[in-house]
Amino acid sequence: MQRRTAETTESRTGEFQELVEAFGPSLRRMVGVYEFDRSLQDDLVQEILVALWRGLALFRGESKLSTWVYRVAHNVALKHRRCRGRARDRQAEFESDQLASAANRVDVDASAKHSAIDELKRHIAALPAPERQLVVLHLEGLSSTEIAEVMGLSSTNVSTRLTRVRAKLGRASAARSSKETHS
Amino acid sequence: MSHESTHPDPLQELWKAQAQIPLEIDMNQIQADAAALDRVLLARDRRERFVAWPLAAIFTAMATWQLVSGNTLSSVGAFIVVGSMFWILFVLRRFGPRSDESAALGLDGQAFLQDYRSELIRQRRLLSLAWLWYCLPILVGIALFNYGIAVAKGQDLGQWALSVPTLITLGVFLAVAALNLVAARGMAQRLVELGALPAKD
Repeated sequence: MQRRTAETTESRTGEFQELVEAFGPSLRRMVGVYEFDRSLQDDLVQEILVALWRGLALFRGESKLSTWVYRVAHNVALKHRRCRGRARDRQAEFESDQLASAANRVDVDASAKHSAIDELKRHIAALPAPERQLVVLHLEGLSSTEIAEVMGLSSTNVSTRLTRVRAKLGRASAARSSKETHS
Repeated sequence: MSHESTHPDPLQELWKAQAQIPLEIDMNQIQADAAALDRVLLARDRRERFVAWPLAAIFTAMATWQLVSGNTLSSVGAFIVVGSMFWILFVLRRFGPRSDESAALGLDGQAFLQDYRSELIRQRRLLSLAWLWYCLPILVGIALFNYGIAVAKGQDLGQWALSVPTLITLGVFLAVAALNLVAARGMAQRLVELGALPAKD
């Protein structure tokens, strides 16, 4: 019995490590729009990994593994944000401003690409939670059908919302560029 | 994962061009954190029982002793307290907050949000009605128990009602009920933010 438990744990560890290898980079990118501070990002990643480890024992393959991983990751991230409360949201706004000013500095100083990524992340972070989730999944390369499965929406709804969010991101980016040109 | 379009999306390219911070995992740490969480959940599940069972045992002994001493009123009061303990355990088990949400975390976004809202609504209801299902039965039991003892000492209703133990008991339970109502109000605010309650609620 003890040996069987050890074997089960070992096989679960193997599965988990494969899962982290496959989705690790994606999780890292994802947490960047929920937390700005590196140490908070690390905490959130750890929370997600623990939830995935615990949930793996319950995963029955009713959905694709990737769908399940994204569901767990986003649900943990949403819960994490809600648990931080409004006081922390104010801190996040402050952090967002800091990020923005850092991005502005980078514009002048160095890599334009780096700055563009920061700007994109800042705009995504400013979106309401469902739109944020939608756009992150899209940027990770999931199809509308896959996003629909993760979010529990219809594919049509996903496409419509995606068009709207992309337009919103485009407007935000244009507004910033125009502000920079004027200043 | 698949792209629907064969045209590369510049935003997607930009997104994926982010500098990669390697995701280092420490399996021992993850397993230790998961085990710690399991212990917390188990303790939370058992906490009420740890409190209720000894209190139920004490009040059963007191009820029996009062019954043997011929103080029926106090005995009934003590039995009401014992009954209340089991009633509270039942309510918490049946309607209380769910301790482990591992399964819920695997739900799709809409279902998870719905589940989260339902959980908050249930908790809010439980908190706002704590005066009824939690405070009132125990208060009635303790009041009856104390009154039986006061009568046995020759005090009348007025003296008993204004006695220090009665006022302290009442104060404690009023405070518990008030704290629960405040917590319920805080939860209502979170529900408004989630769009599960109208702002005026």
